[in-house]
Amino acid sequence: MPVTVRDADGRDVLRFREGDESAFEALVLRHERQLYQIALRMLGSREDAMEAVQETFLRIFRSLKDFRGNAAFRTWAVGILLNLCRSRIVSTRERMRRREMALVKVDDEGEMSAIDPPDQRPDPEAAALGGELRQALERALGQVSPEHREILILREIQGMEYEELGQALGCAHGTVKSRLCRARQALREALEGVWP
Amino acid sequence: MRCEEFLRVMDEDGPVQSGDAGAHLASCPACRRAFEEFLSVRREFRAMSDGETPADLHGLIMARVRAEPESGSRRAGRFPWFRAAWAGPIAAVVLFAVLGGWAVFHEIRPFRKMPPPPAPPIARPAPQALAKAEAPRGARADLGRPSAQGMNESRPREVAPAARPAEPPEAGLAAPVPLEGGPFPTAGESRQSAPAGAEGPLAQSVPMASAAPHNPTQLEQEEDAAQGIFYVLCSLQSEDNGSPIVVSLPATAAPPSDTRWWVVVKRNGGIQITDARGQTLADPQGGIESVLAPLHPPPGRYRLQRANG
Repeated sequence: MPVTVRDADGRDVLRFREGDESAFEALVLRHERQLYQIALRMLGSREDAMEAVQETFLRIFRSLKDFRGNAAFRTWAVGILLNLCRSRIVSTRERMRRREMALVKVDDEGEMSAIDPPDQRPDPEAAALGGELRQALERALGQVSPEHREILILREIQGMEYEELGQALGCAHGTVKSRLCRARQALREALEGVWP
Repeated sequence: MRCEEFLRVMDEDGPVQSGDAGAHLASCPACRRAFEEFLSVRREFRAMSDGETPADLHGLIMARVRAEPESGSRRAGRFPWFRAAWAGPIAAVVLFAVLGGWAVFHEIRPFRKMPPPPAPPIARPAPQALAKAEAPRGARADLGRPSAQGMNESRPREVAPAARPAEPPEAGLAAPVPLEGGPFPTAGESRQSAPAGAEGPLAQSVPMASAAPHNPTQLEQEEDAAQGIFYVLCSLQSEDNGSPIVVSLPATAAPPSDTRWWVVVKRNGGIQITDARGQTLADPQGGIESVLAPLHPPPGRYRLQRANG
């Protein structure tokens, strides 16, 4: 399958197809950091992020022969990572739901009631004490939906353009704009009372 | 531009400061504050992209990749000879299997569709002769019987070749074929008999009907087995005009009609066959000797001729 050689990634893909194993390592070196940052913001756990990035490169390795080169390698790789993160979030959410269902307390009279989950919202005072914007943002990112979170990460943190966002998320340009607008509104709501 | 519209444009397109948005931003303190917050958040977000990467991440990725079985493209790239090396043997095996199957199919198929062999026209003795005949392997003898009546009664009933089983034999199975010197057809067998003494078509259908002994080849024997072996009754009479011995000989071993052979039974049990002119003949397929041996005829010289001859 032909690959458009328009950047270093394209050349490495061609070299890998020709049997040069070092080309794949070059791709890893070039993108592992960015993919890890995205995964870390999406999943909120270092271990989960590392696992997701490893799995992403494994899938890339398996299917690099199918890479058409219509999109940039980075966009393609981010799309794979996002799919993995979504699946992991869904399974984690399901796990948490089961765990919360199990968290019931029985009082002296034998009545069962759910244990209130701990408040994960940031401490307003700590956030208000200057320089805590990052912490507030990270917590706010954890509160918005995964759909809003991923587009905020890609646009605001990774600085991807709208076209790249559309390719990575698999949606049209207009959808990217509207989704980004809703994501920013949701982030603003999450930051309300915390920052500024 | 209203504030809601400005915030929507800002949220959709980012910090736009041109056109109507710029004019509204210059005149609206609330939107300017929101705009500044937007820029602060963006700066902080961009700073978050400078995070550290775990030192062992790269090693873990490459370790998992190297533990992965080689992908198709990679294998083809590293070992371009791989597919070519296997393509030949695999193609040979497939070709051999196809040709072998074809050969087996065509080898077996003729047998399955083999037409039923014609019912062998068997010359069988008269019922009285049959009842009194007792000899292994179909050799029928009636020692010490008067010749005239016995010979008349034991005239062979020759079955025309047209007399065939009404139903063809089951596919794949050969029709019952009387063996050389084998049993006679029983009375219950539905075979149309020709009148006694009528040689009729048998004489023409018997392969060996010439003065010269016929020594069938292996192929001919197989053909005989497929088509049936014909038997005729012959009389073996001692030279001193003793009682004749009635025997059933394969038509291929019997003397032709109206022909007399001489059979010399030696002391050691061996036989020698000569024609009327004293010329030694071969015993076709050992048919005569195999029939006479169980009868243990006394040593001597015997005339051998067809019973109706």
